[in-house]
Amino acid sequence: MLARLAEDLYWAGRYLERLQHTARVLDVTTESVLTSPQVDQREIWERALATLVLEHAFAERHATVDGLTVTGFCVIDGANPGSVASLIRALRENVRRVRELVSSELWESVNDLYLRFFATDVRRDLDDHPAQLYGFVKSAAHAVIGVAVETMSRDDAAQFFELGIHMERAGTTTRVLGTQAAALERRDKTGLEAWAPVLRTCAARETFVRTGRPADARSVATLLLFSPVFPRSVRYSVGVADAHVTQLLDAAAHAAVGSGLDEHPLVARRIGRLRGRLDYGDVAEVMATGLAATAASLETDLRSVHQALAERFFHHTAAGDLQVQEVRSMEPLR
Amino acid sequence: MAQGVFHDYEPDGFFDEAFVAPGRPRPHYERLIRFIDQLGDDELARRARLRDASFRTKGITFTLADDADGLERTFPMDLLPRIIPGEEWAGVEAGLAQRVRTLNKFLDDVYAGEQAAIRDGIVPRHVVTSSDGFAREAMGIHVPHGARCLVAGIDLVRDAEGTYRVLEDNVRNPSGISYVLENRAAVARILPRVLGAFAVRRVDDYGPLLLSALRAIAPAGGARPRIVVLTPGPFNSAYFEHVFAARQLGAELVEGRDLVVDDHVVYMRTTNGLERVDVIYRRIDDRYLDPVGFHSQTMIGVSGLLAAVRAGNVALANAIGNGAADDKLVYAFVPDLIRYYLGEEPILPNVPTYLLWNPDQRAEALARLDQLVVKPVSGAGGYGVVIGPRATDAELAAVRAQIEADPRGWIAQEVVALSRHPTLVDGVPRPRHVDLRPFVITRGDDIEVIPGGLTRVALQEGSLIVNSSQGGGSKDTWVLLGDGAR
Repeated sequence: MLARLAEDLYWAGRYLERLQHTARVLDVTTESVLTSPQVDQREIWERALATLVLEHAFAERHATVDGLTVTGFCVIDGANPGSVASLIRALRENVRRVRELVSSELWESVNDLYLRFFATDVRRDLDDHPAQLYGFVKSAAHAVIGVAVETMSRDDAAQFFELGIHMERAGTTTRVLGTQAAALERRDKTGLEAWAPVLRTCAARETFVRTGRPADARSVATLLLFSPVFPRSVRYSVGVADAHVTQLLDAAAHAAVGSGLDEHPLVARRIGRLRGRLDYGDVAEVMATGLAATAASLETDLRSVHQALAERFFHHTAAGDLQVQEVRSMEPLR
Repeated sequence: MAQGVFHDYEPDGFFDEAFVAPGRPRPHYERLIRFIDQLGDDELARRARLRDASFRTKGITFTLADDADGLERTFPMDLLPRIIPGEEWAGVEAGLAQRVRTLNKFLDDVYAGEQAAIRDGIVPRHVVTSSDGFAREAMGIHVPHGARCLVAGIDLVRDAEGTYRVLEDNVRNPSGISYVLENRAAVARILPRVLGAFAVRRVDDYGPLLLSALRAIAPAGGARPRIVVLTPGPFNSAYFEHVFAARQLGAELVEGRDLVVDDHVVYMRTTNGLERVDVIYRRIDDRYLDPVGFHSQTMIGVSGLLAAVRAGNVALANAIGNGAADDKLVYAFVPDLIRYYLGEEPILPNVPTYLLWNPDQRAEALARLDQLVVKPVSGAGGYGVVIGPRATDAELAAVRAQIEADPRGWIAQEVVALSRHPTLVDGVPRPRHVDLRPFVITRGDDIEVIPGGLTRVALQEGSLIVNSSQGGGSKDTWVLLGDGAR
């Protein structure tokens, strides 16, 4: 499969996952501010920006941190590559480029999301009923993933798309732990009402309640980092990503293409090690290290996996190459 | 039918495809008119909404060259199909095959032969070599079977008598075939009972046909040649068509940066390294193909591609330099070329054309410029065309000055009273001018014509410009099998 298209698919997956994550972060933050009048609004919105890795981009453009400015920046602002509008555009642009590789249903569902989002008066919806707007984005993003699973054959294209989704998901859950959960941890917060926003940001509240554990940093970290069954845990996401990498490499070996490229591919080693770290992780160690530091080190590992992925699958050059390869930066996703 | 959908439809002295006179459809349109009448205004409006929704969801769109936003538009398909009787089509088909066969021979003669047509005085050498589309870089490059116009789109119009005439040849990168297939698919969804009542020749053989044509020019050796479609990218106005072609062929859609030439062999960058490419169905103009070979300033092409083609390691379709044959000036010589290469009389006549570099013809044309259509010879898409009878004095003076400054750059043609066809405007059938672009595929030594083609319609009242880039629409075009009954 064409390297450039594989990269487009991978990023389409990342954009899609980031899209629903962004909607969820803003939804939960908006509701937290609404329902708890005592909290420091500014701090809550700053943390939301940090969770979305948009704090610096925001500070460059705006002096005041308040709900209206932050949501405007994170939803509508086309100059912000991490805004919902920009992500929907980028998602559609990528899927459009790979249209001949994905099912028509997938393209149509993405195009439909795009058309519906840009047909609405987003500014007014943000003012009047933001929850409905975020709900639409979340469920439309879920629908796109569902359509992909239901309609695409399990070929390389689907693998790269889902690889992107799960790499991004591992990153966003890690980031929620490193920002929002770490802040509660520092204050020794316990109780479901304190932890509910963190859990809901990862769509984990119901799952967590069902575990019957007391709501504290340790239990939340156990679920979000190490759960083998919860689909948004870092362990689960990295496991799925690893499975896709393994299948992609196996398919290449089976087709006897790219032989001699790599005996022990760097990407397989890096993601395998990360997987081992999560599969056999110890929450006591995590608590000793602290959530912020653990998250930072996981983010470093995820970045190195991403770099190895790009080298192995996306960027190939030849002796006769006169052109400079365009290497995409991780922006807006770091 | 006094109160029917067509009750005040007026052919108005033009050749009308569907009506001989008000209320009197041509025999092959009678049943269609009856069906549409039975649907009635409201139902037609409903079907039109269905069509719009379906085209938008499927993303069947194009972009305009001068639109800064690069906004995507749906290509408006009129619900009323154009019908061509089988016998009538047989003549058109033979004429198209004859024409494309000749264009292939001419190009092969110019680039890889002895330039016999020039030597024998059929076409002046300067006409060929001064053409914008002539590529010295292509001299000496051989193409298997001489299949240089692998995909050709020949624009036809019908004049006041209903005679089909060739308006122009497109043998570089003709667009539109995707709309032919999509229009048929849309009509099958939106007007199933109407389509189902007729025996209409299929158009969807195009994919397999194009595939076998591309395989026929593959460099010898490989068992299953790898074919790719080369596009300038998503921002090209015809990108939808490029995606469509790749889908039809089951081929990779590549951009220049996906390909790399190493030691005169073309490779594409895959997720597992470099893989060899044998045939490129390119939808990039000659001058952008290879920044090294053509000294161009852009990087959308593939460095070294030209040398790889010359080395015979990769085949290109359409061939390089085809612009020498669809030049609007060379056009005037095509009937003579048909006689020269095939020893046959042309089946499809040209539109009478003045060669403005010829002093006598120029004087004659300039004397009656207000009655002629003036076109730039290297233009496409309807840009730069001046229609004499509609032009202001200032416009005529401007084009006259341009012609005198650069006589090689322009042609003048008699105004053709393009035929008209009932077209729904705000839900009511109105006569609108149409042309027809059939698609012709050279497969090895055979010439294959897709039945029908793309009927383009000038949606504005009285307009003669049908190009999609100028606000034109399209129609599904039915070639009937036998008398169309079933």
